[in-house]
Amino acid sequence: ALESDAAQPIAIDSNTATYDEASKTSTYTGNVISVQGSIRVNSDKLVAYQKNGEIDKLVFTGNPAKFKQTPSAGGEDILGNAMIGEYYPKKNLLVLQNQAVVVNGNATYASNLIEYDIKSSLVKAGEKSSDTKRVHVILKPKPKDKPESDKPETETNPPPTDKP
Amino acid sequence: MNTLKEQSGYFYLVFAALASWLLANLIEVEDTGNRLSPPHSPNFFSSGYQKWTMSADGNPDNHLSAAHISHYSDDKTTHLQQPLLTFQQPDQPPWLIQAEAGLVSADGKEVILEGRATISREAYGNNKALKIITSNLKVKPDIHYAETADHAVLQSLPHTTSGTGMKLVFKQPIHIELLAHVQGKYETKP
Repeated sequence: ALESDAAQPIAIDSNTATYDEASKTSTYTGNVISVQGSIRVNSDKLVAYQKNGEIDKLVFTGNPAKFKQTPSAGGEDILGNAMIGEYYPKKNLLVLQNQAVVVNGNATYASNLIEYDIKSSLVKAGEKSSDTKRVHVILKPKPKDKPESDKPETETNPPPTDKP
Repeated sequence: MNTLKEQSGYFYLVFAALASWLLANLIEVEDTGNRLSPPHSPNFFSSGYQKWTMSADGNPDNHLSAAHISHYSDDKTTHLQQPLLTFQQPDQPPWLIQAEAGLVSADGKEVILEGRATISREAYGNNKALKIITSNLKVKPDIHYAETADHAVLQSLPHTTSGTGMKLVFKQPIHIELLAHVQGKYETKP
């Protein structure tokens, strides 16, 4: 993630919201857009859990909920979606569950459980102990190099060796 | 000659009777014998007004103070200047609701605060202080409830959430609803 992301405030837009002090939760519903720096999540509903006056966890749900993040300035965006997502700002951790998909460059990961480290862009998919969270990875091959004949002259001749 | 005098006397008598009958009808006298005040004018007022309302178990429940009040006989409303409503809460700080002006409905069940209104409650335990800035707020003291159709900003610093239209229940469990165009902002510490 962009270095500055973690320090950015979390901004949430939605149609309606309720705040329940007993459970320290704020529930945002209806076309919910949450943004923190370069991280953006679109969902139908989002519940913000506070602990000691700070955001401890954000749980978003959608059909599916979508997230987008810019891993580095000018870098290609990482995209993902899932029916349920949990974001832990303090741990820089995003947990996608239920038809979760993450597209990182030419790699696509699909599973019922994907843990994505927002800071290092590390994807950890599936779960050893369970068969239900199998992982499906598609690594698109890099675009093929041009055939030899098309290459310009200099490239085919070996560099001249120094004559004694 | 006498008959002419007698006739004119009778005429004056009839005239006087007619005139007094007319005058009597003009001035309609109330049962209480007071003269009817012109429409929508106060029938009593008070400065430095204080009113306590106790709960069923005899504890103070809410308190209304105002710099000045005027009670209107025609619609039975009470108009308030700088009203401050204080709602006591068991085991938490009171909720304070204040505004520039307001009025108490005839049945006393609603206090309508006009213009800018603020609602506040101090921090306690692990609950942060809450402050709501809004306008044209309707308060129902008996059920510790308030609502507005206007923009409202909920501050639980450093976090703020705003929206258009708000419903607030300020007794346990405290519940706040923002009805449209909601924007929340949460500060984070990396």
